Amino acid sequence: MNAKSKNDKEQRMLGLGGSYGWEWIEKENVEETVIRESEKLVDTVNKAERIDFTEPVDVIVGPEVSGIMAHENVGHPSEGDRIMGREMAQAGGSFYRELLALDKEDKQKNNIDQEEVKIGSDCVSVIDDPTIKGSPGFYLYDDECVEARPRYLIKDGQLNELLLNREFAAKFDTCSNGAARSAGYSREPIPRMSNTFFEPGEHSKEELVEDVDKGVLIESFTEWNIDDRRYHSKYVGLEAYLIQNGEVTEKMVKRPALEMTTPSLLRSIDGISDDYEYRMNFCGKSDPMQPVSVSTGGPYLRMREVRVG
Amino acid sequence: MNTMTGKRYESEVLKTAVNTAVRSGADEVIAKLVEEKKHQVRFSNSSIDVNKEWESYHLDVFISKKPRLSIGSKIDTVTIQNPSQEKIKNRVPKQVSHLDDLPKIKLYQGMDENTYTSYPSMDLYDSSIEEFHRKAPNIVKTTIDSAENAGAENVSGVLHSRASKIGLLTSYGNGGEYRSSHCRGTIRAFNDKESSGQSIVVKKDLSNIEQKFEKAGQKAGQLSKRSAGAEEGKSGNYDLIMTPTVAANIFGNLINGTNPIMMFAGMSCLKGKMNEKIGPEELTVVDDPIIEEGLNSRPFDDEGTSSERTTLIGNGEFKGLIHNTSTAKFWRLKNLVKFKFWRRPKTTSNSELAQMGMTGTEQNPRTLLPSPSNYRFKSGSYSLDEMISTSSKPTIYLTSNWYTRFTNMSEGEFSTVPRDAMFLIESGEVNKPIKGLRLKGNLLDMCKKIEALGEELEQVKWWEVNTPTFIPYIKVRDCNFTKASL
Repeated sequence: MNAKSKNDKEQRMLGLGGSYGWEWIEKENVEETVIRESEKLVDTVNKAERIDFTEPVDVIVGPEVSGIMAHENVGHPSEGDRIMGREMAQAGGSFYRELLALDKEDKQKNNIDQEEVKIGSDCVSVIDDPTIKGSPGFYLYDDECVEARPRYLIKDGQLNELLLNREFAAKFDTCSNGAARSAGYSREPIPRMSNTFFEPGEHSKEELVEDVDKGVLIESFTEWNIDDRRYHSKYVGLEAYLIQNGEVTEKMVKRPALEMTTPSLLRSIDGISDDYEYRMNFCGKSDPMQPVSVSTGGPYLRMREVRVG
Repeated sequence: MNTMTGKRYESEVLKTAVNTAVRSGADEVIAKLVEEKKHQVRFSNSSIDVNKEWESYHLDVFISKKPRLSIGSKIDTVTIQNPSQEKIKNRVPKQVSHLDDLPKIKLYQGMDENTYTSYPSMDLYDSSIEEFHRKAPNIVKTTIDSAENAGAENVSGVLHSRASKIGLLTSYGNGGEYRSSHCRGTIRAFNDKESSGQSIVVKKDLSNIEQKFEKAGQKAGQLSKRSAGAEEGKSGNYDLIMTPTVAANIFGNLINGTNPIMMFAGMSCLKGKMNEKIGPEELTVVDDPIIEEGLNSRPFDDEGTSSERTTLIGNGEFKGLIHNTSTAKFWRLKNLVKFKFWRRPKTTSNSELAQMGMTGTEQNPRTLLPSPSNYRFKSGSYSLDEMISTSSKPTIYLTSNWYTRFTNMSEGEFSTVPRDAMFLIESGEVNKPIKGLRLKGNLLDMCKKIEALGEELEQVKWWEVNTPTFIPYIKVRDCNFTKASL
């Protein structure tokens, strides 16, 4: 979607879809969603203003943003093949290799006990679950015939489980957890995500906002990227509002940018909403490129003391 | 590679497809027969992971039908694997009758009706490709060894080769057949987990190919060693020297905006800038389908239009778009509405049976789109050493990048993540390796700020560069680098 005002332009990519038949069009009310999102884009292009935040502020991100964060900052580094270096010349590696101290020098340097790798705050749990019926990443058996099940990648802030196919499960001396996906009959089944999201918490969105003196609510995003170890990430907000004295104001913030490392992002989270919403996306990996459908969504996240560019 | 001798190729297949479609009621038809063999070796941690081969032989048939008194036509495509006369006569009529159920496509305005009696003669096929897959594992081993000898601790990469034979016939009688082959590779060497160097090889001419990969391995290994012990970079404003690999990704995104489909979709920052100066006098870029070393070179496009060069940027001025017949007609109509009668664009031989977006592994075409062949930049006069030594301001030398994403494609606002070796140049000398920065820029702004173009062109094609691009080192002044908060 493109919106243009006298002085400004904004663009929006919106992923909609699911593992349904034609009935999805009615169920999802696509027309209404597109109209609603178009109106929000028009609001953004007309009203959003740049605000210089000189000091760190609290940031609440909506389902679309928390979804891409779960995918990029947690899902990808959890893929077993990346950790073992198999994708180094294509989709890249994973900083989990050092975190898990798989190399001798890291084990000695960091004195890390692999069983207890704390990466996020206590309230952070991230799940990859292919068994959600109707979801874009839905499957019951993976492409190596292993039964699908939900996988807690992070549980209560600690690394818990990786995404593994049979080949890389063997390298980690464990069993496949059903993450093998292939984009077609002539492609390798490799560790992939399905529906990856922060586990919903106990707060309502309003409760998350109530406790913020000054901050930004980011509902959607435009530009994003992350380095190939999945450590330095960047998300630029699109529809974003200023929060003041515990309330979301009508003042829209133009393109607030979060440029954070994965640990700093996960440790800054102190509250998670109790609802969940998903968006459809395609994830690309491997060579030849293997696009697979995934969902990127989740609850609202509140992040404390974050630098907003 | 014995199947590449053309034994299975039959021009009768193409004639049957076109005649069957026309007899069934199609107004226009393209039949394209593709026979190809692809081979790939992937390696990581200094050893080979997989050795794969794909063979395919299929017929793509594009059909259109124009309802009476209508603007726009109905279009459809069908792909038939291992085509036979029987399969074609069975499938094609069904597809033509299916057209009646489809909506009209306004953007489809017909195909090239001219008759071409000859096409550019090019040597696009190196017969040694037929034995290349036998050599490939040894080439990989040599590449790994040379990277390790140059300082790498472990090496990853990929080596591809492809041989194809294309046959084409349109309902206007245009087309022919040609063979093409190439090999390409990416080598990424690691001195430690955070110190890496990458090099690529992109060749149609396979002579001395082992030495070319050996040299590429050495280059990647040296870069990885030189980038060891990198310090955290500081955010700020720097001049920037890009390798051809980086330049092809960044400026390739600008040149992709010369595709009218990108303009229609609001995804080109070149919209409204035709005939405007967008870069320095030295900047000239053409779409070049007839350069023999080009991976996507071809004597004709998928409408059977004879291949020709198209100037996209000439002496810094935005000069042209790539068109197929449909977009050219559409653009003519647009100009007419704007009373620009004198501008009558025609097809630039850039028509391709293709699909848009990520749809899975199958490459079956869905429609006819304008598509670039090879981008070719004009070389400049600087050597890399001169670019470095004339850098009086702090300058970053970027050897590779990935994950270029846009805040707004119609404005050209983007950021991209440096990957592999990155160096800080101070007082005209490479001072030290740095890490942890992100380039934030605007395509139009960076194009205006091009300060120097290198004297040698390299062909780039890899994971992050889709269109083969002949491009030199490029130096750009005043670029912004940002940094993640830890």
